[in-house]
Amino acid sequence: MTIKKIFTGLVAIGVLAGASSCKKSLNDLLNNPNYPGTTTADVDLYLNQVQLSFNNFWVTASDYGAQLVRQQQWVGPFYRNAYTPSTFDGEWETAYAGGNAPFGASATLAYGGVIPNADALIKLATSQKKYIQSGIAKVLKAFTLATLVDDFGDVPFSQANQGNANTNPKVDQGAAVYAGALSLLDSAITDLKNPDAAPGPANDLYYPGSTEVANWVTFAKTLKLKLYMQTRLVDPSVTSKITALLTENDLINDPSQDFVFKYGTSITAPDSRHEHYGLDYVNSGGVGEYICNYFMWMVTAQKYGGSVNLNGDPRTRYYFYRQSNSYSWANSQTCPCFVNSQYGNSNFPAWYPSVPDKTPYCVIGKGYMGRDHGDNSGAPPDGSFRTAFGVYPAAGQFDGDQAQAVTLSMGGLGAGINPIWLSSFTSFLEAEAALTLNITTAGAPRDLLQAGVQTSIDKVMGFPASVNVTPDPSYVPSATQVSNYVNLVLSNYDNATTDDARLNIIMTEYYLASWGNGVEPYNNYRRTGKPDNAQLAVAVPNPGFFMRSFYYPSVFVNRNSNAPAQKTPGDAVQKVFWDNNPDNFVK
Amino acid sequence: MRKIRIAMTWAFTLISFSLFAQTKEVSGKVTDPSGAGIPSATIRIKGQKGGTSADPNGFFKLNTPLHAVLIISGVGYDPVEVSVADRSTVTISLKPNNSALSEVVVTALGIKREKKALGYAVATVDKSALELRPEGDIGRVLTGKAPGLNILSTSGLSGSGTNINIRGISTISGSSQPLFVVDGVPFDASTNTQSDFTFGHQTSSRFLDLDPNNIESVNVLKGLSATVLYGEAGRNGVILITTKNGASQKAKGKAEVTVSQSYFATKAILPEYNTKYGGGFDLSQGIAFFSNWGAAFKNPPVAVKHPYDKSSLANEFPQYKGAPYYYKYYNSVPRFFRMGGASNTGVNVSGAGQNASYSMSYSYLDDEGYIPGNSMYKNTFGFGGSARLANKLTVSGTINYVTTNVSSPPTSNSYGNNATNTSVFGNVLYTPTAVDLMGLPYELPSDHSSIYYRNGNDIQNPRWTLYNSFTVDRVSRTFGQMLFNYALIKGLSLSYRIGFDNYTEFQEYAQNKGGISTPTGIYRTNTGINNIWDHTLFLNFNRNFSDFSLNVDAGANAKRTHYEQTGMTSTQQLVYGLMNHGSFVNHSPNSEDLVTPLNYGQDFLSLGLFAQATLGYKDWAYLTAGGRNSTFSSVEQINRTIFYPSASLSFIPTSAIESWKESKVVNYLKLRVGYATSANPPTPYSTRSSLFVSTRNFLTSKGTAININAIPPQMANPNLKPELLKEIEGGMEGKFLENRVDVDLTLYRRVANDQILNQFLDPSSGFVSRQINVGKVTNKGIELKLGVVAVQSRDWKWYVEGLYTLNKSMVSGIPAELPQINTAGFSNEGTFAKNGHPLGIIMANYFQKDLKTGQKLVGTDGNYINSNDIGIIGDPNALYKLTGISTLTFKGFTFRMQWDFVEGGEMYSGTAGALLGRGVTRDTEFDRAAPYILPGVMENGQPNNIQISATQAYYTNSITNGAADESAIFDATCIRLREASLSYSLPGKVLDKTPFGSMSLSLSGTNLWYNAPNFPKYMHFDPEASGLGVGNGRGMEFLTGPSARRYGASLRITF
Repeated sequence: MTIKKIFTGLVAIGVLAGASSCKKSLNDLLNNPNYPGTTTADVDLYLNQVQLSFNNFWVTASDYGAQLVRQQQWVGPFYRNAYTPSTFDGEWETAYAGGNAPFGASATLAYGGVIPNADALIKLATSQKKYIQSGIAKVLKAFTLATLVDDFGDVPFSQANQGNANTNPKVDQGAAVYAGALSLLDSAITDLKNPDAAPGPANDLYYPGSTEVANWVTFAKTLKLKLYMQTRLVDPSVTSKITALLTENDLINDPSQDFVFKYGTSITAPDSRHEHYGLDYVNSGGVGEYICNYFMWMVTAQKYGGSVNLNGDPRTRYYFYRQSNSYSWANSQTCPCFVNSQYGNSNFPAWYPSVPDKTPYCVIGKGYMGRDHGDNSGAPPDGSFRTAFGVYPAAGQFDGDQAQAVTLSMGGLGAGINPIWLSSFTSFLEAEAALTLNITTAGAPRDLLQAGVQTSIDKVMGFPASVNVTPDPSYVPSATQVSNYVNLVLSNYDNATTDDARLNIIMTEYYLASWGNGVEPYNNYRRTGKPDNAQLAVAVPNPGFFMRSFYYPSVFVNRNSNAPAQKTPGDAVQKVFWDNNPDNFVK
Repeated sequence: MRKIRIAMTWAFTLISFSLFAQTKEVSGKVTDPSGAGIPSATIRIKGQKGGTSADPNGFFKLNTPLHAVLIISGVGYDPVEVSVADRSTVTISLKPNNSALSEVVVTALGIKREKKALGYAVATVDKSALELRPEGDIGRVLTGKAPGLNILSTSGLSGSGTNINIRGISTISGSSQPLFVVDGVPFDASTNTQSDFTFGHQTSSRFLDLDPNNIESVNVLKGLSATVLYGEAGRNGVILITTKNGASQKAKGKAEVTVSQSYFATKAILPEYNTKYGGGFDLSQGIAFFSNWGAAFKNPPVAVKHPYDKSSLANEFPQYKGAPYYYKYYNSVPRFFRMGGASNTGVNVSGAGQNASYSMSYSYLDDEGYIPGNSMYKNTFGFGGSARLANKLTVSGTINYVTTNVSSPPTSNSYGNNATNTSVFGNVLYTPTAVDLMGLPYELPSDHSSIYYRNGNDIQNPRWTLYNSFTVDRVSRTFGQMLFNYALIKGLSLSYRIGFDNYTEFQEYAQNKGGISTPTGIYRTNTGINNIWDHTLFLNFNRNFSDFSLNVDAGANAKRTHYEQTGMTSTQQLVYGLMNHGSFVNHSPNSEDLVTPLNYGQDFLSLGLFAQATLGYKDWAYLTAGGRNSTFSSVEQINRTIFYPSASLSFIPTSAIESWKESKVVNYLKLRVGYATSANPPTPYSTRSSLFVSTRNFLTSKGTAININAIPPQMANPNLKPELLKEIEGGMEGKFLENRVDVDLTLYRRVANDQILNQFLDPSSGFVSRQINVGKVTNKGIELKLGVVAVQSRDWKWYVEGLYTLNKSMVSGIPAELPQINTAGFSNEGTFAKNGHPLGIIMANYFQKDLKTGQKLVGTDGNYINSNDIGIIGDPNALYKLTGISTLTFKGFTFRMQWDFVEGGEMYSGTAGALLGRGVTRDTEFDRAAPYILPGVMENGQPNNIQISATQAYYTNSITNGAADESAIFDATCIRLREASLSYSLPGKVLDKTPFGSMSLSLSGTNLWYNAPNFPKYMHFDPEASGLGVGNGRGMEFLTGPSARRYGASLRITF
C-alpha cells in the first residue's frame, strides 16, 4: 500500500463522514419524529380536545363568577386588588390558544384552547361532511365567545386566531362578538340538521347516545335564548326573537336534556375528578377552599329568620358537607373571627346592617363553616372544620350529620357534573322574560318559577343515585318538605308587592339553583341586581365598585400591541355592552 | 521539530524506506537537566532531510551517516548540536529556554501551540489545582481557578447540577453551557431534567462523569477566536480536558503505580435558630402553627397539649393521649442533618516501552451527602495508549467507562409555606423551634402515612420525605477515541480521529403513598441514551522560510448527536414501599408535571470544513487567519450554512526590540488582538409544525379514555435562523522583575445578534408563543490574572495569584411588543431579558413606592402595599469577582489557600425571606412584645406612624404571606475561603530504601468559611446557590437547600 492509497483512504473516510449526509438527510432532520404531521389530524380527536377545552374554559370562568357572587370565597379586600390581570390568563388561553390541557396540570402549562381547535375541526370536518362534529364545535365556540364578552367586554374576534398573519389582533365590540356567536349558533343548527352528514363522533362528552343531534340543536337554541335575554336591557329587538324561540319551544326543558360535563373518578393519570372534589376531599390538611358564608346562609337560614334550618331547603344536605355539626372546635387560633362574634352576639364590622337576620358574619350556625365576602385574613388551621362541596354537583359526601372529616375517595368519588345549563335555568329565564318583557308564551312568571324550583330540587335529589351514593334515608327530605319549600317560595312570591320584589324572588331561586355554576349567576347579578341582599365586603367599608368586568388578562395587554388600555375594576365601573345598569347598581 | 508526534501507524500498513548508504544506528536519550527524558524531542541530521523524534521517555534510535552532526531540539528547550563521531549511543541534556517564549498550550482540536503565537487568551488549570479535592464534580473544582469562568452549583447536595458560563451569557433562550472536549472528542455535558424546577430535581450535569483526579490538565478556551474551529459548538467557550490516560506519557522506563486515598467530611451550613420563642402568632403558645411568632420559652417549660393527642390519632398513637408536650427549644433542624462523608480511592498505572506507552486508571468515589438519602457513587475506569507501528505511522487511543449513581430526595421550591411539590428542604428549614421534629413519629404505625404536628396534618413530614421520596440519576457511560497520524512529508502530516461518547442515563422520581404531596404515590422512570460520533480529518503543514514560519491546519469535521429517551410515570401505588410500575394503578407517558413527554428522540448533525493559517515573522509577530464553514441540521436549507471567519495577531516586543531583550524589568511582553464569529442554532424541530397528539387526556366515569389531537401552542417559524455572535478581544501577557511578576490581561466585547426569542404571543392570535430572531445581547469584560512570587529562597517559595473577572451584559434591540422576556423561573417571578438592562434581571412583585420620596408606601393597615404588576427588583449579575490564591511552600510542605470575593449582584433568597417571615432564626430573637412601625410613607404622604405587632411586621410583609417578592431581595456580596490545603511530600531520600517512589499527605477543605454581610446575620446564607436548576437563570433560590462545607485528608503513594 502506498502513501497515496492511505491518503485517499483517509480522505474517503472524511468524505463519508462529512459529506455523505447530503441535503436530503439534513432536510429529514427538520421533521419532528416525535409528533405526526398536521395532515394526519382526525376530526373526532379534535372534537375530544374541543369538548375538554370548553369544560376547562367554563370552569375557569365559573370560579371567578362564583367568587364575585358570593358562592365561593372572594378574598378581596378591594375589588381592585382581589385579582391581578394575570389571574385571568388561564381563561384567555383556554379560550383562544392552541395546545392541549391535561386535566390537573398546573395552569401555566395548560393552554388547550377551544377556538383554534374548533376552527381546525370545522375546516376539516366540512371537507369530510362531518357536519355533526362541526355543528358541535360551532356551538361550543359560540358559548366561549359570548362568555369572553360577558367577562372581559370587547375581545378579539374578527382578527383573532389568524396565526402568523396577525399576532396583534384588535378587539371587536362586545355586541359584534355576540352577533358573531349568534350567527355561529345558526350555522351550527344548519350543520347539525344537514341530511348529508357523515356519522357523528365516536365520543361525545356532553350528549352521548341516540339523542345527540337533537339535544345539540336544542342546546343551541337555548343558548340563543340565553344570549337574547342577556342583551334585553340594551336591545329592544330581542323581545320578538325570544317570543319566536319560546313559541318554537325547542329548548332545554327536561332534565334529560341538561347540558352538563360529567367527570370521572380517576385520581391520577389523569385526574378526572370534579375540580372542587379534588380540592375538598383529601386525606391531609382537610378541605382546601372555603364556600362563601353568604351562599350557605341563603340556602339554610335566610328564609328562616336567619337561623339555620336543616329541614328547610331540600337541597341543603346535598349541596354542603359539614365536617363538624357545631363550633366546639372554634377558638382564637382555629377561627379568630369567632371569638369576636361569639356567634350571635356580635362584634361585627360597623358598616354591617343588623345581623344575623340580614347578613351573616363569620359563621352561620350548626357547624357550617365558610368565609365572608372579602375576608382577606390569613387562613388559620381550620381545614378539618371547613364545610365542603357536597354530593351535588361535585360528587362529594351527602350530609347525614356524620360530622366526620373529609377523606380521599369519600362520597361519589368526584364523578360530579358541571351544571352548565339545566332545564331549571330555562324556566327561571322564561320567568324573567315573562316578568320583565311580558313574554308569557311559556307561561306565567309564578308557574315558571315553580317549575324552576321543582326541577332544580328533583335534579339535586336524584343526583346521588347517578354517582352511586345512597344517602341515609333518615336525612333524605320527605315529599312534604319539598312541597313545603316550594310553597314557601311561592307564598313569598305571592306576598311580593312589586315586580322588583318578584324578580328578586325569581333570580334568588335561580341563584340557589345554580350551585356549581358561577357563570350564570354572575351574569344575572349584573343584569338584574338580584339577589338584592348580597353580603357586604367584610374587611373594608368600601371595597370599590363591584367588578362589572374582569381585568384584561396580562397575556393580552402585555403581548398585544393593539390591546386596549388595561381596565381598572374597582376604581371604575367598566360594564360590558349589555349592562346599562347604574354604577352603584350592585355591591 | 515539535510537529512530529508520538509514533503511530495503521495496523495494517507497513512502510519501508530505503536507507541511506553507509549508515549506522545511533541510539540515545534526550534529557532535561534533571536527567528526565524529554518526550518528543526532535533529532535531525545536520544538512539532511529526515530525522526522528524521541519516545515518551526521551529515547530515540536513528540511522545516521558516519560522523554526522545531530541537531537536537525540544519544545521549551534551547537546541544543541552534537557530533556523533564513532559513538553508537549518546545522551544529550537540553537546557530549558525562557519559559514564556517556549510555553506550549493545547488549543482547539487538541493542537499544541506555542503560547506566544496565539492571538487570544487560553487559561490553563493544571492537575495540581484539580486533584484530591473534596468535590467529585469537575465543574465545581474549577470554580475560581480561571478568570472569566463563572460556576454556580444548584445546591450543596452531592451530585446536584452545576452551571458553568464563560464570559457571561450571550443567549436569552439558548444554552449557555460551554462545550466539553475530552481528549479531543466532544463530551456531552447536558443536564437532562424531566420537569421544571418546581419539582425539585437535583439532576446531575453530565460532566459529573469525569473524575477530577484523572485529569492531567484543563484548558479553558474562552473567546470565539480560540474556539472558531469548533464552529457553533464552541460558541459558549470550550473546556478542553486532557485525561491522564489521554496525555502523552512521560513515565520513566519502568511502570509506575500511583495509589491515592482521600476522605472528606461534608457538613451543611445552617442558620442559627432562635432559642427564645416558639411557634404561634402574636406571642400565642401555638404549637400547631407554621410560624414561629409565638410565646417566649419559660424555664421550666410549659406543658401544652401534645400535637398527636387528637381523636383522629387515638388508635394510631394511644401513648400520646393526655401526654404532656413541652413548649421549648428542640434544636430540630440541625439534628435533621448529618455529617456526610466522601471517600475517594484511585489507582493509576502507567508505563512506556520503546515504541509504546500505556496508562490505566481506576477510581471509586463514595460520597454520602449531608442528609440521609443523598449519595453519589462513581466508578471510573480508563485506559489509554499509544504505539508507533512503523516509521511514520502512529496510533493512539483512549477508552473510558464510568458509572455514576446519584440519589437525593426532591427539593421543590417553597416560600416557607408548604413546598409546591415534595421538598425535603422546603418543609424543614422553617420548622418552628418548639416542634420536636426528631422526637415525633413521622409515620402512622398502621399504614406508613406521613404524620406531623399540624392540626390538619397538611405538611409532609420532612423525615417522612427522607425515607419515602427520592430521585435517582444512574449513568453508564463509555467514551473514547482513536487517532491515526501519518507524517506525509517533512512538515506535513495527516491525522484522523474518530471519537465517541455514549451514555445511558436512568432516572427515577418516586414517592411512596401516604405523603401529603401526591398522596397516592408516584413513580417515574426514564432512560435516555445519548450518542455522539465525531470524525475529524486533519491536515497540518508546518515550515520555516528564512525569517518566516508558516503553520496551516485544515480539515473536516462531522458530528452527529443522537438522544432518545423512553419513560413512564405511574401513580396510585398499590403496595406501600414497592417501587415497580407493576405495583401502580395508573400509567402515563408524561413526567410528573403531566405535560412533559418522556418518550422522544432528537438528532442533530453538524458538518464543518475548517482551515487556519499562522504566519510568523522572526519569532515576534504572528498573524493567524482562518475560519470554519459549518452546516447544521436544525434550520431550513436557506439558513443552514454559515461561514465563521477569524483573525488574530500576536506581537512580542521583548523579542522584537533589541534593547528590551536583556531588560531586567520587562522579561517578556506579548500584545494580542483577535476577532472571530460563531453562531447558536435553534434546538431541532423549531421550524416545522406538527400536530399535537396525546392519549388518555380524560377518563370518563365509565372508564373510557379520551384521546386527542390538537393544534400545538407554539407557532412554527420556518424562517428561524441561528443567533450570530461576533467577538473582538485584545490582551497583554507579560513577565516582569526577573519573572517574579506575571500578568495576563484580556479585554473582550461580544455581541450576539438575532437572538432566538420565544416570543410569547397574545393567545388570541391562536398561539401562545413562537420563536423569532430579534434582539441583541452584548457582553464586555475584563479578565486579569496577576501573579507575584513574593518570596523565593532555597527552602521557601510564596506565590500569590489574583484573578479578576468583570463582565457586563446589556440587552437591546428587542421590539416594544416584547416588554420583557422570561428567561427562567416564573413569568411573574423570575429572571428576564429587558432592553437597556443586563441579561437576567430579576422581575417580580415589588412594594409600591411614594413617587416623591421613593420610600415604600404603607397602607392603612400598617403594611407595605404590594404592586399588582411586576417590576425589576434586582440584578443578579455581580459587579466583579476576585479570586486570590496563595501558595506557600517550605521544603516538602505546601500551604495553599483560595479566597473568592464577589462584589454586588442581588439575590432573591427564598430561604432568607421565608425564615425571616417565619421568625425562626436568631435574626428575629428581639423583643417581640414591642410595637413596630414599618419605615415608609403613608398614602397621604406623611411618614408612617401606624403601629403593628412584630408578627405583622415580619410575617405579613414577607414572601411567606405573599407580600411583594422584593422583600426577599438581598445584596449578594460575599467573601469566601473556597479552598485551603496543607500538604506534605516526603523527601526522596527518605524513600530511597523503600519500594515507594513518592508519598504525600494533604489536609484540605472547600467552602470553609464565607460571609455574605448583607444577608441577615444568623441566616448564614450562601448566595452561591441557584434554585432555578441548570440553565440561564441566576440569582434566585426558593428554600432549595443549604450549601456544604467539606474537609478531610488525602494520601498519595507511588511505587
